[in-house]
Amino acid sequence: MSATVVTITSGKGGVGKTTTTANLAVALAAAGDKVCCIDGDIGLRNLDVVLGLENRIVYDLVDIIEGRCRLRQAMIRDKRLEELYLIPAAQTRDKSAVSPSDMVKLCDELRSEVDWILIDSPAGIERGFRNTIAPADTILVVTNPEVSAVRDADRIIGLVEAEEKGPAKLIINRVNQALIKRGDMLSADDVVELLAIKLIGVIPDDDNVIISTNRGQPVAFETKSKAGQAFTNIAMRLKGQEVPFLDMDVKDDLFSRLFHTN
Amino acid sequence: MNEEKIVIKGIAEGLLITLRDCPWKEAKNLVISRIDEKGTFFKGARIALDVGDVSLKAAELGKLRDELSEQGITIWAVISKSEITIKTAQVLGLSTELGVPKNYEKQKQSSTFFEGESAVWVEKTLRAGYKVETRCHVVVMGDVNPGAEIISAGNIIVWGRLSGSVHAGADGNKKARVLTLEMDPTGLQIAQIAAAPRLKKRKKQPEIASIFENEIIIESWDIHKNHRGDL
Repeated sequence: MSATVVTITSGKGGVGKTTTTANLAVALAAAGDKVCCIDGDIGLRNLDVVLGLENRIVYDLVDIIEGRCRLRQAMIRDKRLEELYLIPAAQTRDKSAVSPSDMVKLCDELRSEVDWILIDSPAGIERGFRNTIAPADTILVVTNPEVSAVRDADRIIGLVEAEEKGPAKLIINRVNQALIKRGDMLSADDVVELLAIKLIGVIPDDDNVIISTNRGQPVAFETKSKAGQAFTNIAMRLKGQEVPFLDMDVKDDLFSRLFHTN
Repeated sequence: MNEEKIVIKGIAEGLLITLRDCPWKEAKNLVISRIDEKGTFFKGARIALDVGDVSLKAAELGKLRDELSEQGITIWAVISKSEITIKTAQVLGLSTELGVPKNYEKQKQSSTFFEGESAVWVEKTLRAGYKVETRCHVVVMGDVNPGAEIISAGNIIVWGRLSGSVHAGADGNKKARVLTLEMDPTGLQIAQIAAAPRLKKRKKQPEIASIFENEIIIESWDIHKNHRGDL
């Protein structure tokens, strides 16, 4: 096996990097691939919480890099999906505990063991960002349809270009079709027009995402949820399949609400 | 006598220093002392060195280059009849000819030969955080996104959508203009005058911004019209 390293980044905080990482990992593992996620947000770890693996952490990323444990020992195996692993971030350290070359080395060691390495990048453009970009084969930029998030995404895409890691691919998260129809939100087309990179997924705004995130049960486990379906579609596109984009029409939402009692 | 051994004259690409019948050690000292004499006159100069048939090794030429660069002077070309010197210059990445056609002077005199002005060519979209700052004109083949910035002493052409911030004629040239296929800048300034924010979003059409009666006006580009502002 030789894994593809995918880094999920955004620039702005709170747009859904961690949620996206967790859900793509679940979707890829559910499709039968072997996946290892790495939480790159050292000092502010939370990918473990979103994946529901918080109480199983013994060793973390910094322990591997500083030689206190072997790579295997820090990989937490998910109990729901056999092929899903997590390397958590250290909580008591900061970004300077890891260097970009440490990350490249670690990923090179991990490449032979899995199909996918998904790295959750911290917000910002400093050390933590550079650490997570360094080993990446593919970079996914997550943004919301908000002017401020799009501006930061543009900056990140520029930095990725400058590091010669581009072109990045775009995920637009929390798209609210009702607001777009009222003309109160940028549409996916508006965002793509400005950022001018390839769109790989559009995630509808879905309350289930918040609920599932709090429960540590990513929404991609549920096939009924629209957001879960959208994440699964991105996973399939990463695997090289052609999947049409979801129809996000509001009417469809109402319709499903009327006829799905649950 | 020294005056004959070293001749300095201005050429199109900077200064040409010609050394004649002079061992290298002496020649080198002459060059350095000449430059010292004139103080800051040479600062930032680009020099072509004509050494005649003197053979130079990389160490000798490299040393002079380093000493001059400390004073802010660049050697960009070495002209010589000696093959060793030519090779040395090539090793150091220097030009070995002046690269100007011999009939340059004649061409310059003819009124239909136009040298033009220098511009910075940018063939990519300038994203947030990118900055271009130059004394030349700027041509961007791509968009200028919000958060990107161009500062030019001359004109700015954006062959794409201009949504970032631009400052043309930045050293006070009120004749500078900004042309773009779609004018929607976050900030637009020509010389010391800033444009008022545009309230209405205009149609997507090529437009030109220039100064007219001390205000920036933006008008649609009309091939038949002379867009020259105050000129």
